[in-house]
Amino acid sequence: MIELGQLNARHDDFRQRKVRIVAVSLETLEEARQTQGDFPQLFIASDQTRDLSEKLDLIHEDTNPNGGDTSAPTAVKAR
Amino acid sequence: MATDGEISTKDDRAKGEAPTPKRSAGRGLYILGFFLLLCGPIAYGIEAISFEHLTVPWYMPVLGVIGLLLMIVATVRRWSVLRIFGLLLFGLLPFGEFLFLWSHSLLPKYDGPIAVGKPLPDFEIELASGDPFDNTDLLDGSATVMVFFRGRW
Repeated sequence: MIELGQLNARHDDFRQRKVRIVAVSLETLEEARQTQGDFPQLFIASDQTRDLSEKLDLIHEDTNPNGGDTSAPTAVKAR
Repeated sequence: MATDGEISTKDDRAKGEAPTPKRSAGRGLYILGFFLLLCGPIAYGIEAISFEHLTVPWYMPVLGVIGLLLMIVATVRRWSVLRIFGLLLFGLLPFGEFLFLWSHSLLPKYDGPIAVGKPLPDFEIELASGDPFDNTDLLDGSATVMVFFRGRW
């Protein structure tokens, strides 16, 4: 979440360079909405079906405090 | 007559004052070090359990090392079986804390399909607004950085 705060704070720099930040996690849509409220300048997305994270092999097992999996912290630049 | 743990001087006796209690050298330092040693894990436990807020607890080994140094200094100033026992018992704690941070900061080696110049596979995720986001949204001319994060905890 610290990285999201830093990205959110620098949103003007990204906007000037026409770069869009999409922050993805395995959390539910409801949790994504809460995160969106915290970081309104970013695009927060839910990958709760794991469609993207599994295809990119970005699942980090047993790293959630509740015992589940999470996305391995990664940044991917796409055009 | 002075009892064990007390000293009195001729001047004290002459003045009729209460004898000055004898303090073991470095006891306060040792207790402070022990307190700092335990402070890190306790603070991290409170942060994680009570506030459900997880951060990288760099303060934990730092406090541990400071506490351990204070305990060592106190033991050098005046050693006792109890102090040495405490050092042996808790001395490895800061190293364990460093090991904990180091092991949790490692990520598994990436052998996945992402590679420079290679297109992303077809995918669909859901934006917080409820709108879908897929490959076609990456073709609108603007660069996109997809940041994968663990979660809002």
